[in-house]
Amino acid sequence: MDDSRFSDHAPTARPSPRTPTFVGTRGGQPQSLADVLERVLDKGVVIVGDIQVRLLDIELLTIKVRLMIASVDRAREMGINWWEGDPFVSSLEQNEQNGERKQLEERIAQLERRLEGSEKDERT
Amino acid sequence: MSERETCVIHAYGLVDRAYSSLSMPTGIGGAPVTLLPVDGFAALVSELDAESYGPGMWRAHAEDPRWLEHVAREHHEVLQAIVQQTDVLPLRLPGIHESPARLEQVLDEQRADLTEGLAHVRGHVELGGQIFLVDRRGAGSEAQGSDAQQRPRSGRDYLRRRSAEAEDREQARLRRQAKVLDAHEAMAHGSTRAVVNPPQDAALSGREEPMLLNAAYLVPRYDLEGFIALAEQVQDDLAPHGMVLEVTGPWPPYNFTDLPERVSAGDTR
Repeated sequence: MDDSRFSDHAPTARPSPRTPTFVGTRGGQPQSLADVLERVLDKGVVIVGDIQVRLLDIELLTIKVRLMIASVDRAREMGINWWEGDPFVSSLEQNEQNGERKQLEERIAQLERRLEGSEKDERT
Repeated sequence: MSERETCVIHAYGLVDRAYSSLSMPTGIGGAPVTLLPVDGFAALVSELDAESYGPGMWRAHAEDPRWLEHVAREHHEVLQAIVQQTDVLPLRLPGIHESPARLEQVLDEQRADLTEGLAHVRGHVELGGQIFLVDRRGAGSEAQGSDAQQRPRSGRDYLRRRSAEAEDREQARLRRQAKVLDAHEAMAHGSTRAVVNPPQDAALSGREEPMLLNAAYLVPRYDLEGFIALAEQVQDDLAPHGMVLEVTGPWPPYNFTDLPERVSAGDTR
């Protein structure tokens, strides 16, 4: 990661380059963890019928992972904490995520209730 | 749900057939990767220790970023090594199955969709396109120069100045939004399919610049250079507005495993 970025918190003075930055395509920087996680955990074909037979389980896990990806607390655990003391980054031009987060949390609650229900059914 | 097995089969992705010429990377936890041929295609699989990678571990670590990062990265490394050699349809994590026979059975059950999925990515790779705002004072918002440095003469002057600044910021934001849409449209048109994802949280991306576009484009292998040339044009258009385009990849086509339900903008060219 480019350390020079950290010394300059003001949103100014970085000239926009005339060419795009190429990551991976031209042997430059390695692929970022965020890009890898987003793709591997949230995309790709879901093959149903594996050991976790229940679709509910898989959906629950997928949603939890998606929330985890977007969670500041988790990022802090991963040692990514540069944003602390830099409030503008989290607020500006990123307003859709709160709505999505709420929806996902509601879906988790719904799935957990259904899982509890089906476990009770199995016991009886 | 049995957790007594000592091994699980982890499936990474599907390729057209069991090519003997594929150079196989190392899999999760150092396990070898092999090809499991089934009718119509072949699955890239590893036999993993159930104690380390079984369903119990998945349940225990579903919210443990370190563990997930380790599995996700190693899963991805395999697919990345394969996509450099041939077309691959990536499977989502967790991709663990009881036995090769059981995996073969579920693949067989979903053969029609999987075959179609493979057909849709054949000859293609994915490129990521992300736009970041690196300089908020882009075109048209230079007004906050020397005037803004002086102390306001009165409360009213202060409020007037604040409101003018807010108006400038809003105008600049709208101009950027239009430019981002143009950029995406151009790249969608220059690709076979396009997907827009929510911007990544700054906390995870580790970037202080706000992400304004987080998109993926399915690009024919023969046209990679053409897409990169297009990206250079797009960047020329974004630069005066303080924005920068980052092109990532080529990736395995993770974002294009859903069957296209409708014709995307890119298909019309």
